Amino acid sequence: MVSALAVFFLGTHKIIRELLSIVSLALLTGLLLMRIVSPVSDDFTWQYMPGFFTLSFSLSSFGLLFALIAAISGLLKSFASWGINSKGYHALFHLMMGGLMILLSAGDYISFFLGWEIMTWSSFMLFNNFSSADDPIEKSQDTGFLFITLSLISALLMLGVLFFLYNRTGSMNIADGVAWLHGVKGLPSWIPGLLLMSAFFLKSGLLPFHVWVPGTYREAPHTFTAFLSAALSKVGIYAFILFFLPFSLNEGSGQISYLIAWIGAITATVATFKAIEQNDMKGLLAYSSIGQMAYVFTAMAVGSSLAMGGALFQMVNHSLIKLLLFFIVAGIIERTGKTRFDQLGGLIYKMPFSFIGVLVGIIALAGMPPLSGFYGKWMIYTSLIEKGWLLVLTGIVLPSTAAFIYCYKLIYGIFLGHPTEVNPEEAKEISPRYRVPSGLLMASIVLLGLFPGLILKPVNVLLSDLGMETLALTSQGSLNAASGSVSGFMVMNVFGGVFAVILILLSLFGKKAPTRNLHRLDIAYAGELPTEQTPLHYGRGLGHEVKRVAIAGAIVKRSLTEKYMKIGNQLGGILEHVRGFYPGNGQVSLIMTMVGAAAVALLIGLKG
Amino acid sequence: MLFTIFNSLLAVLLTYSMGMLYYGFYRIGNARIHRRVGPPLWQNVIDNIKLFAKREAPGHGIMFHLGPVIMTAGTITSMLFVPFLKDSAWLQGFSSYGNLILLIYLMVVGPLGNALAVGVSGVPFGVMGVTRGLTRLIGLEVPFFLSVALLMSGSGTISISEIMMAQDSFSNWNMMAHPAAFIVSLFSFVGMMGASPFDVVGAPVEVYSGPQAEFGGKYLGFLAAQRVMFSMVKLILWVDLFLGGATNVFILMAKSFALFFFYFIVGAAFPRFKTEQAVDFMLKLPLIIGIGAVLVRFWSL
Amino acid sequence: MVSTIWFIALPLGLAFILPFRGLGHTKRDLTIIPLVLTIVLGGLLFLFRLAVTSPVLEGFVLDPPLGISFRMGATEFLFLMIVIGSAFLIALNIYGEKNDIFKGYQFPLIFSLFLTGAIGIILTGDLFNLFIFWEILSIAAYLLTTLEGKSRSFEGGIKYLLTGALSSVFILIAVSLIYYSAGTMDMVELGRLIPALPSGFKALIFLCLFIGFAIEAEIFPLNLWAPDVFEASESRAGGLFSSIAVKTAAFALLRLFFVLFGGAEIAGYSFFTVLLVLALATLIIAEFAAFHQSNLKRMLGYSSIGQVALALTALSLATESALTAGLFHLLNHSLIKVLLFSLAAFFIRKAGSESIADFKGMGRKFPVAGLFFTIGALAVAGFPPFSPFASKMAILKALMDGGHFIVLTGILVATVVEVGYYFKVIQVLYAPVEKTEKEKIKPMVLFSWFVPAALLTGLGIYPSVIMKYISLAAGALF
Repeated sequence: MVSALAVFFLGTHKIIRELLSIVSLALLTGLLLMRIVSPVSDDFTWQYMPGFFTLSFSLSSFGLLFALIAAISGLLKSFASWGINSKGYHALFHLMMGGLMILLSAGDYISFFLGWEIMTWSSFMLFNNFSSADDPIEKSQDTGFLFITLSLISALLMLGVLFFLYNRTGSMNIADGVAWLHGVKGLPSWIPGLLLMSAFFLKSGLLPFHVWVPGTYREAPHTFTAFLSAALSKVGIYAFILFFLPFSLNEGSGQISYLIAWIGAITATVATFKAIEQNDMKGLLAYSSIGQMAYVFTAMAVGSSLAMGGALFQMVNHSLIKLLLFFIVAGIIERTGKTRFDQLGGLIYKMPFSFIGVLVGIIALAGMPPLSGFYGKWMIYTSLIEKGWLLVLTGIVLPSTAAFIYCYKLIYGIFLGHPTEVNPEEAKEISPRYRVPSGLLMASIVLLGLFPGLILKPVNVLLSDLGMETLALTSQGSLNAASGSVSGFMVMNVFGGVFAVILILLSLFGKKAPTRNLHRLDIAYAGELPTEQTPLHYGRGLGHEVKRVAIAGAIVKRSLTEKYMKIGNQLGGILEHVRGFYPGNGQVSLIMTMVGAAAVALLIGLKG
Repeated sequence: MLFTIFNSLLAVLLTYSMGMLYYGFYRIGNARIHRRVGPPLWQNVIDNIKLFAKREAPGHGIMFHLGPVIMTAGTITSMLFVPFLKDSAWLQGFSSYGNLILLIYLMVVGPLGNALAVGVSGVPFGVMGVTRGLTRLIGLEVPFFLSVALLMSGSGTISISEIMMAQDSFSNWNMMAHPAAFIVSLFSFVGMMGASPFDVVGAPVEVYSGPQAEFGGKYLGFLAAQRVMFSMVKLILWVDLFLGGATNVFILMAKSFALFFFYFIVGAAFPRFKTEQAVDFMLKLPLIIGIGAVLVRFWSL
Repeated sequence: MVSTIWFIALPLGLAFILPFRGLGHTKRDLTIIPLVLTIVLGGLLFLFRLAVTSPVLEGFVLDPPLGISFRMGATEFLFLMIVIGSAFLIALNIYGEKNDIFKGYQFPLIFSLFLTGAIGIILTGDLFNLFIFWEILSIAAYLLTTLEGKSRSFEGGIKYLLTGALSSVFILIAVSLIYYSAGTMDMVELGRLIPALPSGFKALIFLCLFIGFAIEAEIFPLNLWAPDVFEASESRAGGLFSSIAVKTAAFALLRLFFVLFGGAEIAGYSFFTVLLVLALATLIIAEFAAFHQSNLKRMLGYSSIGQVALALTALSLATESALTAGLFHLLNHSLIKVLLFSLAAFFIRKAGSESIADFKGMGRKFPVAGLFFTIGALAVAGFPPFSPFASKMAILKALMDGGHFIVLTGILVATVVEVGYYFKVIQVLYAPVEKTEKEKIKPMVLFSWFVPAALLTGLGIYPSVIMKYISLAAGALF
């Protein structure tokens, strides 16, 4: 584990930094993988401040999972962003990775907080200094400010609760704190728990704390957004598992678990409808990320083995999918310079690889068989039915179905339809450094779709570590639950087989009835002939009729971000008032000082 | 395995012919309501053959070519995961490898694949139709899922065969055992079959749009064929879930025709909702009934 | 064995010599002199490093309790380290980047006096002697404020003068009362005698001394003068105030609480509560007030007030671990403020304005400066891996040992605000601007930034290096 920290001090100089960056991340991944194969238990303690703090580190199995996700994401990202980043970027990125590793292996509050904080400020600096926003400074400042303030509120809230736990348990160890949280009954013990949970929700982007996510994702450097979505959003989940999982299995905590499940469902609904409204690619994916993470929380709230397996599977899927999608989007932005749907269109012919990549991505994202996205969702749905939380299930199905719309929007807005501001003749395929990781990711998604059982082995390890029952593992190709099973292997093969047969049939027809390919503008257009000027690309507005549905419209109209800014302004007003204590005027200061002295005297007189 | 493949082919043939027959009846029935004579019973088959016999078909590239393929593949795959018969080795397809949740999602694969082809063709009206379809889907899926979830929860299983098996006598038909679920599912059923009041998506005649706007020739032939087969799949699914399944093909035909008749009557009688009205409606009345059913089930037990 | 008197003799003597040598050479660059002075003093301190474990006591003319004595123990050593170290760094920075105002003999003179006062306060064991050095320090401080020669500086200087005069008056009253009733000025001796005094009298003495010291230590509601003075004086003068003057005032408070009034077992342990409450209020108000500041120096001034208040909060808990944490925090804070004020001087000079909004993009034009400022800002906010993280955590832990939840919450809230305004500055610094060529920065200046930054980082990663000294210092107070 100690070697994991070695990711830290790198990447400050020279062009070799790219190589160094990749090598170090590859090393990290390798080390982590080795730990899976031959589990080592090395706990590491460090007398940080003698008399005060001893930091302890150990990597549990689910910490390992998260670390692996982060390491692989980082590795792929480094590959995708080869050569376009300065040394400051690399230094900050590795620093952030180091912080993340510290956090994941922390055994006591201080090291946990340490990792958390390092991660926070290095991501902020990355976001701030290398922002990709083409907006004026105002926008970036607001976003960055929102990010850092909310991150810090969550961090300090957490710190406060952790110190409270220290006060109650007398120890700085995470394990002791967790035990205390679950041991104590009664309302007072819920408050620190709820506060701590809120801190983690904030970091994961659940309602109502999600406001920092879209802006940050939009304006961060593109490949870094991929990393944000794939790895950093999982930190909140890790923290939740660490502190609260045994809690949700506890019988006495039914209401809170139910509440969390609903928070997840509502977050997903709001996020999905907001995603449909988005006009730019990254914003859409950002809201999509919020929604997907919400599913994971709902699943965790259910608490059964199947649900937990589903949550973990969904998490892994989400990382894969978002990495894929963000990489391709980054590639497209780099090639075309455009970020919005109403600027793109018709790119399928020149960018077939990207098209297939996004296609695979959205099929998995929407949770459609035969790709891997379905199986995670299947586990979650089945577990909800088995638990009997049918209303929550309904609450989840709504955003799941609505997700189809934004998935379609993503692929249509970029690749299908008609080109608007891009010239399809000049478009080139995205550069190879995006293609290689994308290809790998696509292959993994397909593989997991074919053999969803592959995920069960590591999931079972985690489950047994958490003290839960393990899931039945019959074959690599299928998933099993008490109420039924599904075989990914068969599904993909059946679909593939039928597809092939039909395709052959159709092509056979082609001999007798060949296809005549038409010009792009030669379409059925209500009896008229469209020209180049006719606006034919349904880019920005796709999905706007969803707004007319009462629920969706209500959601989309409100903006929590604005409410936050308003609150922020109010608080700012209070701060201004406080500043009024300090007049710039000398005489007033002097008089106030004497008055103050008198007040102090009174105070001392009263006390003493 | 060979047996299963043979069964699959059989299933395809069966649904195709049953579908064409039923829809032939649909056209005659509609015509008689409109005080017309109507086309012959097998008109649909004749139309289908005509489409395939056309000399050439306009296309927009590979993706467009693949669209109907995906659609048909999706339909047939869904078909193969629905057990047609109860207590029989025939016509089971691959249903032992899947379950109801899988099926619900498989049913969406086809239309989405076609959506890609519509997109690549560039017809904005087609895309509009697709979006309408997806939006309407929100309204349809939510109460449907709820009713099906009630069913699954009540039967303790998510496998269609098992749900079917559990209905061993008339009083045990899920239609009777879970009436609220059945009623709720009927709303979605009407929408999924594409009947008024939920048929704005492919609204015939009214608007020059719909997902099938740009397709012609063999493509349209495939789409027409699969539409019919898909409707049959849905009918059979409902029969399995709510009407007690069927032990042989004839009972299957009888039950599914009864359901089909219901759909036909509803479709002929009602006017059309706009998309958002449809979603709104679906998210209100059926959902409330469904929620009521859930509450009754879980809180009074 | 060298006498501790040299600590005083050197700077004081220098101060006397300078006018004679420098008269008529007002424009000559004599900034090397303060630098050399601090180096020499640092060397002197090094010679005394054993004093940490075996305290030195020197009497002059007469031994205590009748005569004046100088004490050097672990605590004094620590504070001297802070004072001389900060002075060294600021002198280095001034040597590297000087305005005209630092030329001539005036600045070295004032600097030497300033150091004399500060060192004297720390070393002396006699209360009246302390008052004398306090006056020297204050006068030097007033002059330091006016160094820029603008009307604003004079205004600030006068404000400082008046408030400082008030502080001196209080101390003098207390000193007279004490001498009247106890007959000695030696602080250890007084520690023995004071508990015997009538309690009303005790309260009065305590009050006067407390107010006197607290005014300089920038405790609310006695710190209204401070932001103005920070704004009015040259940036590095502000750095000197923040890192040296305030710390000596804090030291004086420590003397007050622990030596004169004998630690925790007096009727006045409620005095500690007073300090706690006031320090917490100072922290929160200062951080809140800093938020909307557009003037960088003023903002740093508020921040300075806040951080010292945080340390004082810890010190007021009066347990050994809390004291260790608080002292460590004072050390860290000096480092930070030296760094930040030096950087502020740099930015102000390059931008030609003190308003933060005018620093737009300077982080990109001067990446090194931006980097160091970021380090400083992160450190102040208590982010790892910098040393204030360790000291802050230690303070919080000590608070929790005592169960002070409200104080903890207050500190955390103040931290959020603090991060807010510091990060706003960072955002402005790194605002995208068109690329211009980066200018070179003089190596001396770079070095003067590098040292505190390196120390902050190093101590943040290995605080155990210095913990030994600090715990000894804390222990010595009991």
